[in-house]
Amino acid sequence: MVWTNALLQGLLTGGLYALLASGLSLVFGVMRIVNLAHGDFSILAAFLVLTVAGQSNLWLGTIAILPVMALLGYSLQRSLLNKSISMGVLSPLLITFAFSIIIQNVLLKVFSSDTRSIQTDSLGSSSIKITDSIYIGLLPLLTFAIGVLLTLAIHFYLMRTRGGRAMRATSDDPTAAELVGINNRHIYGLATGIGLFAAGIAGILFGMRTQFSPSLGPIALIFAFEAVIIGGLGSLWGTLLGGIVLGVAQSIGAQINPAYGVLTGHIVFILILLIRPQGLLPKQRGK
Amino acid sequence: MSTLIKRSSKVSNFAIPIFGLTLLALFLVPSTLDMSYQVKFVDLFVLIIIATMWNLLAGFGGLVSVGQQAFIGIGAYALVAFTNLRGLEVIPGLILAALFTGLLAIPLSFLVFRLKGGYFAIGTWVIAEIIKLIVVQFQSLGGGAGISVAVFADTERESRIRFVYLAALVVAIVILVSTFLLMRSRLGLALTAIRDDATAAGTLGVNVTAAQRAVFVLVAMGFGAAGALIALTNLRVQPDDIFSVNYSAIMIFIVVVGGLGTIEGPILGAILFFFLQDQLRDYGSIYLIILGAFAIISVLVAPRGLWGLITRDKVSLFPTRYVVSKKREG
Amino acid sequence: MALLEIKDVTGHYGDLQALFGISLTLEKGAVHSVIGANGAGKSTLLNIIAGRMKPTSGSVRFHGEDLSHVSGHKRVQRGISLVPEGRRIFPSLTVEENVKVGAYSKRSGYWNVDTVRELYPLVADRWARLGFHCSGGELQMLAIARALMANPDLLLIDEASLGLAPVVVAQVYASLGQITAQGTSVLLVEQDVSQALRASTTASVLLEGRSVLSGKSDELQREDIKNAYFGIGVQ
Repeated sequence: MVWTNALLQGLLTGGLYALLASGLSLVFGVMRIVNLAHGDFSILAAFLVLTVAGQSNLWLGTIAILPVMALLGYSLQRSLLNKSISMGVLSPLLITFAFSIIIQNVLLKVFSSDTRSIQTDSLGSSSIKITDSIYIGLLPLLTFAIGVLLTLAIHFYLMRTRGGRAMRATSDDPTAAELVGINNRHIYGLATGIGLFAAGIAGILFGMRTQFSPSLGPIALIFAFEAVIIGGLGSLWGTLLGGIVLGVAQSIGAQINPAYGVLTGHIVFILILLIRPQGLLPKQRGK
Repeated sequence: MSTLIKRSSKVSNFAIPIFGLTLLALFLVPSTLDMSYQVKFVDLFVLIIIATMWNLLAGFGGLVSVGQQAFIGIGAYALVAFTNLRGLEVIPGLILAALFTGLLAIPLSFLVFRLKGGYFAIGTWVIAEIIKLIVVQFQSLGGGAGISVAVFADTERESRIRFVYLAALVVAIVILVSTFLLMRSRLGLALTAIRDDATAAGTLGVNVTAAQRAVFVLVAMGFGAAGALIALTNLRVQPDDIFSVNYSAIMIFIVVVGGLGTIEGPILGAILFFFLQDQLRDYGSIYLIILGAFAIISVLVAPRGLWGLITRDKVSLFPTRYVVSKKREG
Repeated sequence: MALLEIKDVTGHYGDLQALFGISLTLEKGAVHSVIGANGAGKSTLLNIIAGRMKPTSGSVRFHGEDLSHVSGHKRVQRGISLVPEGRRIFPSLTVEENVKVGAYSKRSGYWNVDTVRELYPLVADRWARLGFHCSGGELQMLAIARALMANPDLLLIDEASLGLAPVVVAQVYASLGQITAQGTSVLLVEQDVSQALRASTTASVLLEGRSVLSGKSDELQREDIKNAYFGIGVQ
């Protein structure tokens, strides 16, 4: 029973990882940029909600901050990152790395390195009883559901809407996309906007269930990255699966020995890299 | 009138005696300057080493990594293992630490080369984190708390600092000279081709993967040596410090701001960073924020770095380029 | 007022000059072909009209409007669509999606999914296939179909016949008649002289970036075209 519990918890944590990873995956898929500050942006969102919730209402804060994150992503992409894309792989990496350092240190300055969490009244502590020995936390369940929903939403957007089709076209061939009237600078902005929106949701949900601090960005990035690689590059559903696999691996590892949780996740990542580098659900379509 | 292709230009011919004089001056530092200056110089030399190595990897090898701190850490711990635990002297310990790091880089390269581009960059970072997690499992290496370097236990402070200074200077010179010679070698030519267009290089018969692996391993040795030097200076190795991603941040900053793909760039960048760090160190978090903003502006405004900005890509102090010169026959 | 007016356009690639003062007028409903050997500057001209490249000097006026400040993707909205050399189909999108993305600019007109499928049955046959898996001829028709979905007033076609079997080229050119019948003017660039002349009302010959011969397609003498094309006896 204790293993079933571990499995279940891992599954639900995986939803959080998938949520965080989906933004990273989308941005890379569209522009080949890895946003090294992705994790830091999610932590930033958690801190912003903390501040706003402190002034007024939690849910109001969440609803307000998420569009702010999207707008932040859009403007950073259009003002700074777009220019660097044409300069090769290194420039966007350096710029996003610089973002990471700036965000961490600004947060450190404003909030200090103390850990804290977002108070949620009953949501954070409620759970649903499955059997006598298995309980599922409401918040993790909600997080998982949102993770699946967001993946579905992004999938729907990309496959069935005019804007999503344009995004995929731009990802294939940005110069050719201009031939049909697509402004690829705008599309790139949208992609990062969506990416940071997703990162924001992940950060806020994370902040509701755990203690967080300004320096957690990098480890969040690493988990998101591992989820993407385990699941398979270019595949949104792969990223969801990858997140779940990572979550389960960490949970089972922690069950064996609390110190081995994160390491087990790393081991699974290395194994995938060695045995099946294309990931569990690699992208089928040709390029 | 015919045209000749030479490796050196008027400027590089002029620069060599200047280098000679600078080197002489640097060797005289221990006898002329205070200990605190020597310590600062060691910091600068280490910066030059890691920047030159990162530049070789990214600028010439085309491999952008955010995880090279893995090799700095391995080098530092290897030095500790060889001197503390195996009783070796400093110099053999340093050399072996570098070699060991290079050796470890071989299997790691097979792992990490499965990733490309931006994901390769983070992948190396993840590897660094994993290596750190593995190293702290060993109590003999101090576990999570770190370990002290014992090899200088019987040495006086002044002699120790002078020794480490000279060691660092020699390592830096060896690294710069090796990099220079590498770039003039067949491997260097292959690397330049790969940097320009890896696919095209492949069709010309360049074994791209083998060349990249060679650079990856050579560069790891350089990072290992740097790690060993850091251990020898601080006399203590702590996992969170020695495997810190901040090293990558510094390397990247120096190379991009100084000038990617040139040998002069990283040197210039290291000097600039060294001064910035010195001046702004007391401001704590703000200094890092300023550095970050500086890096962003630098990338957008001067993509070829300071060296590129100053020389407009026309000058090369180290004769690694091909220069077409018009010379009269006879 | 002419649909398209090009005056003294010059174009450079770095220090290399590709066009030396080209002037051209295209009336509504016309089909004009620009003929010339490889490197004559034909594609450069099309790219300048489409906004993919900036001219060093000269002006491009469309519907009387000076296009110098209108960027490439905005010109689609104005009514200029380019079918580029090499077709540039989106490989990971299906044929259906490639066609539909062509309507991104939301310009209305005769051309929509149904009429485009009617024009090119081959494209309709391959509807669910990935762009990546299409053959040369299918790609060419798909590229034109995609461009048509924007209901352009001016369709620019760059090297339509390149790498295609003669039978396929004939099919592609046959479709031009229906395209112009619906009110789209066409400017095409071609190395295949006979095909180009048959399909167009007027033509000009480019040689090393200069226009050396122009006139009505049915009035131009073969001999003159050959000389102009190869630069024989031309100053």
